[in-house]
Amino acid sequence: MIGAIAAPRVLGYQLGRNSRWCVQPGDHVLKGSPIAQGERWQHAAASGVVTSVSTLALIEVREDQQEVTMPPLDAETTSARALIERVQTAGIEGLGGAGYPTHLKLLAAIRHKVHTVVINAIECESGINCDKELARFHADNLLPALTALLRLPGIHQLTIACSPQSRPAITGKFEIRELPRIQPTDGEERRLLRTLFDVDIPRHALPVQAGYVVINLGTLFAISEALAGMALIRRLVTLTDGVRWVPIGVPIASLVSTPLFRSGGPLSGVVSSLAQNTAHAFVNKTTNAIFEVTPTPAFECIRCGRCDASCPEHLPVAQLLACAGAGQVARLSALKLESCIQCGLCNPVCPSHIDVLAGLRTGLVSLHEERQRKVQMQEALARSSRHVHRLAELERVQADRRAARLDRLRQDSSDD
Amino acid sequence: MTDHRSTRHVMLWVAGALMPALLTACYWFGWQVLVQAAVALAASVVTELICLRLRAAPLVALGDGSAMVTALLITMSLPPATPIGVTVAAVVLAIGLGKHAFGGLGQNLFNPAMVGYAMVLVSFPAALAAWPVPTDAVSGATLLDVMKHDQGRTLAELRLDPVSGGTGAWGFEWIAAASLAGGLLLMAKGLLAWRVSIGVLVTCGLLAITLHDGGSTNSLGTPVQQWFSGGLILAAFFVATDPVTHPRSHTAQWLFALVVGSTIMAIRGFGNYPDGIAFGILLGNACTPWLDRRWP
Repeated sequence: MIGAIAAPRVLGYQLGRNSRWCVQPGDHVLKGSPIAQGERWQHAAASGVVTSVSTLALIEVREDQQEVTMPPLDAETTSARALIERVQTAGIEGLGGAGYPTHLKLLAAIRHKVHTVVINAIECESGINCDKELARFHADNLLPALTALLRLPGIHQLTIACSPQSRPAITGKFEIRELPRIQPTDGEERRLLRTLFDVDIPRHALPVQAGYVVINLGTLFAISEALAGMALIRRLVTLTDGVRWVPIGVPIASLVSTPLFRSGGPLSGVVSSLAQNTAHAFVNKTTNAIFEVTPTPAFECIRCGRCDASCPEHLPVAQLLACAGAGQVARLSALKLESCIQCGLCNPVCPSHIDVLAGLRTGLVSLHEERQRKVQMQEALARSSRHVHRLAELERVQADRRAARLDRLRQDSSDD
Repeated sequence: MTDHRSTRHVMLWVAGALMPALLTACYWFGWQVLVQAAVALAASVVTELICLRLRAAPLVALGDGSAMVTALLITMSLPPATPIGVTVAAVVLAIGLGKHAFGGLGQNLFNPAMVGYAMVLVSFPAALAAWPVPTDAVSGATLLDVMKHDQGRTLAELRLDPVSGGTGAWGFEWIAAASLAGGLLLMAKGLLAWRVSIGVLVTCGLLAITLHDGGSTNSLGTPVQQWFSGGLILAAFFVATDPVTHPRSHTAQWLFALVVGSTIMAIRGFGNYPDGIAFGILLGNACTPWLDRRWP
């Protein structure tokens, strides 16, 4: 069995995109009852009292652990619409780390007439073992979700991609593909699809556009639980002493004893400090691992080029790092930073102990902001040109009217 | 997860790989080499400390070992009889102007040791030409000087001159051999960009073949004589390969080596200075940002 962490005294939740809180301060909530609705539903992981609601909702946990569940759905008979609605109201997001709402992914899959569902149990980050433990202890619980996914319109193939350690001992109308030696980037979905089906999906396209939808093993398990009526209120997290069920919303301070922690794997994780009141202060649906971190003092970059050599996308990492630090956004996109898959292989090779990936992520953020600024600028331009057109149109109409009036006047005077 | 090849480790390995060359220099040129090394090292630590304080940078950077490597490279570049003041000036200019003025380790455009060396070379040309010679005189012309200026003798006659050693220049050839051993060690450990070293040596060799006229009175020497004279091998393995100041991509590294090697040979063949290593490397360094940009 996988051990569970008990809910501590306080739970915290960050409001997701396109969602709103459906509780107010002072409300009593029961375990499993919704606290946020919209694109990203959230549910209380324990019963208690809502103490504050802003971008962050805090719940003070009370003793009674009464649980609210939804009526179960039968995987054999459920309609696609009911399944997708259940996935949404159970608050299921991609648990592999990306956190994209699963119901949106399934809707996109139907819209794009996807033919193959791939269950991603590769878990290539060394040190994260959630999928492996899940496959070992809860393989049977995966079946309802697999059955339900196969009932989605257009789906005629279901492939479980796994490593020897994460192979679930189940059989059914699906194939299990075991990749023998897992490299640190094999789990990235485009790479995985290339390995499995020899399809190349360009960086700007989504797998659904090529007819594939990739779902993480943990997400699959959450769908099974949702079919049984349980909302997503806990997830597997790899901690320093092993994999545990952790209620979503647990303060990270209660899981580590160092002031610095890494959320995510040793390679691609994000190092934050407990002192900073960041979005990372509570376990959320994308938290796949929490490790304690002892700081190593970083030296300056000596441009040794080991990060360049380590990059699976063959990016000039050292140059990107320098450009990201200097905020040279145009250069970042010229050097193709957006094809960075954030695998973090550049981090352990750095002789100066620089958090290279963190630097690249800053660059990715500025690239994203720049792109948004461009979109806004184009929208503003379009608005202004529409405005100019309207003014010209108005001018033309008024000129026509003036001319007509003059004509009438002339006619009137000639009639006299 | 983090491997043990930290920046400090890299610098310690480079310093260690320089030791055979330093000890060989000591054997041929006398104990003053060690005095020079001690002075340069002391000056480097003090300069590094002062500069870090002035920049309000964490003093932990003193531990990265880069100042030590700079000091050792300057020691290897200067003749053993260089006045102490000149040595100190070279180190202070190298670390202060060559490195910290640009923003410290990793930000410098030029190799610090070569900045310091080039500045004292143009300021004190006489002191820096005073290399020990095999004859009774305390100092005099090296093989490179002789090949350039002493145009009355054929190469075969020159071979009999004491300034010629077995293969290259007296004394220098053994330092070059020791540098080669250290450099190959670093190469085997993957601590230097081998394309740069090999590129520089191949460029110099090819140009030496082109310029070699068979050994007349105007001969500029054979490739072997060029390789084993002055500090060419030392520079190819320990200076040109300073990762901060050479470009990243393989194409750019070959081109960088081409610039460095051909500048060295141009100065050796036609310039006013007997050797052109510092200028070759500085010119290559100056091309690095462009090479990086053009061939990322």
